[in-house]
Amino acid sequence: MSGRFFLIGLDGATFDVLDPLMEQGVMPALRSFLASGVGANLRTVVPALTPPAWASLVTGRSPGNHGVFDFFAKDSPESHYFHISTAHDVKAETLWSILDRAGLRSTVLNFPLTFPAPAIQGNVVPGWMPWRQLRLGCRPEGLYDRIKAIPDFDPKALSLDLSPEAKAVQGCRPEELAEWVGFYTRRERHWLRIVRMLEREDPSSLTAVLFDGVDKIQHLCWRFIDPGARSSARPAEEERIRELCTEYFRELDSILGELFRLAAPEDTVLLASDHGFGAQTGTFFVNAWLAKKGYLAWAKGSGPEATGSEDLGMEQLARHVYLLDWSRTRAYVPTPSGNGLYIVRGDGESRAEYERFRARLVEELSEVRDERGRPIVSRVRTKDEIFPGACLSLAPDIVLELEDGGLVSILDSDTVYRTRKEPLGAHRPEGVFLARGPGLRKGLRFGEISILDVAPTVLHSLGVPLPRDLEGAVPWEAFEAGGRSKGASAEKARPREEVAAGAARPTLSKEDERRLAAHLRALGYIE
Amino acid sequence: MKTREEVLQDVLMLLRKVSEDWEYGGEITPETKFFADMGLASLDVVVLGTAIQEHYGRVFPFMQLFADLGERKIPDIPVGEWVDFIHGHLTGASRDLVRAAGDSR
Repeated sequence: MSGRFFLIGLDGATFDVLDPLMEQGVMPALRSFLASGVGANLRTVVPALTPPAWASLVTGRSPGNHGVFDFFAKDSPESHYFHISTAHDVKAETLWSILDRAGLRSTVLNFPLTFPAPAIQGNVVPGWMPWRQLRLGCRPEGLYDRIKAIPDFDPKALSLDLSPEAKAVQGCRPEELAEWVGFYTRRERHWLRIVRMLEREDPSSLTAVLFDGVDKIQHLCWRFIDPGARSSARPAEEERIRELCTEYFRELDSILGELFRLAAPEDTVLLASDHGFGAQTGTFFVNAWLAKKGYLAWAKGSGPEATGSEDLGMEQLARHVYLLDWSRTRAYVPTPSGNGLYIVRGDGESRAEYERFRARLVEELSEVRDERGRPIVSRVRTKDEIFPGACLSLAPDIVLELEDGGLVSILDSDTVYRTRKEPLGAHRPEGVFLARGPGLRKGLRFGEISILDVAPTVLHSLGVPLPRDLEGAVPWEAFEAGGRSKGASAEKARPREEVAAGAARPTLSKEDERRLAAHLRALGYIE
Repeated sequence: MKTREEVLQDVLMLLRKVSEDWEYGGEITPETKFFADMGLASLDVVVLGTAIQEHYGRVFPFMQLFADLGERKIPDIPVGEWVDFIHGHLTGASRDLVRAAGDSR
């Protein structure tokens, strides 16, 4: 086998962190990689969130076309209810599916939205799986047993647990941070062991592996990682946590170095992140703001109160279903993970009336200020602006981008904005793109490409024709002159209904919706 | 058309397959409860539901079954009830089954 492709995902990686670490000698393998390849900022989609961004990276389609807007997906355009996003919610063809059609095998490890695993040639271990069900996620049959046989394998190291996920965006006690850093270091090592085993026993044309510790550690430890961020921690404690973070990146570099060595000279290696990172300094209580404006009504007069400036309401997910008085609610934000605002359409409301109300919301949200008169929301966009495509009807009506790049809180609050006691890491639009391989320039650092350009780059490098419905393009500036000759011819676009094939979700009746509210309560999502 | 017994065997096979991985030592029967007996978390049940949908190649509105849980004194699901629900939807008698389960408490 020759000319294979290694796609390495670094969730949340930013050059703002990686550049200093490379300069300080903490990440020598990455530095050497960049010196012999190309690097650029990778601009992500709106919203700059893990699920829509990775879905865009692996499909080459924007959220309006692949249908993923948040960690949670609307059951139907008319419903107020949301389910955890799965592979069924991705309505565009993925890289591994395109490669499969071209007769090529893929190894896909830890990518979100890959459960249920696609029926492709190769191996899939989905991301976001609880450890007890990991066997169900692995494809083909028998893969989990092979992984389990790896010495010192611990399925819990690979699992998703919702509780720590909530901490990542809300914060946790300093004494818990060391445990987190250790957990993610062990986790990345586990993924490396799986890659090694599969490379040895069952190599594929595409090996795609996602390391998600960068995102989690930056969320929690941003104030220790970013020299510009303040910290109230005691200096010794601060230094200890900073050292732990540095150690994580040192370990990650060692893992990357091993992966780079698995690639032959004729192989291409590409590292990409789904978004960048920066500091979130405050919290916007958007539902409290909507209530003050008279656009949202709590069923009991008031909603669950935030316990502090860090409380985004992760524990209150989906509670909006019964917390709100739907007869008096015109707009709401259901999750603290997507910054997406939904408008409740009234019976018989015309399109013009809807648009007038939406325009008013956009204008008023743009004018929200904190207690010092500074703007809170940097940009307010409607779904027609940012999500044109086949999945438009499932998208939030409005997406907020906050001045500090952070996530909103869905809780009630006596004030619509609070400054955080400690800054937390939050997403930024600029991720990273680094690549090395045949035809790629060496030592070139250029401006910026789109996350939608990654899928075309992978397909081009593997000599597979690009589907015509890809929205990105091969970034030719990254290639030597003559790089166009290898492949990248466009194939006939597949009918949308063909690539959008996913299990249809039943439309919920009012009774079903009432039952779902109770269901969520029973599952622990709501009280 | 699958019989209830066939659905039960499909579900038991799925649960026995994955239960080995979390070292659940007890026997899994139609009376075994997801949360109290098997020690599952809510996300586990969501994933199991997705796996069942994948197995049968169709979507089951599990929310209709889980909805009743919040109204019960003991919010749990016996395997047999899950089987009834799946079988009911495969045969088109699901809504009656859910109502019957609620009425019987």
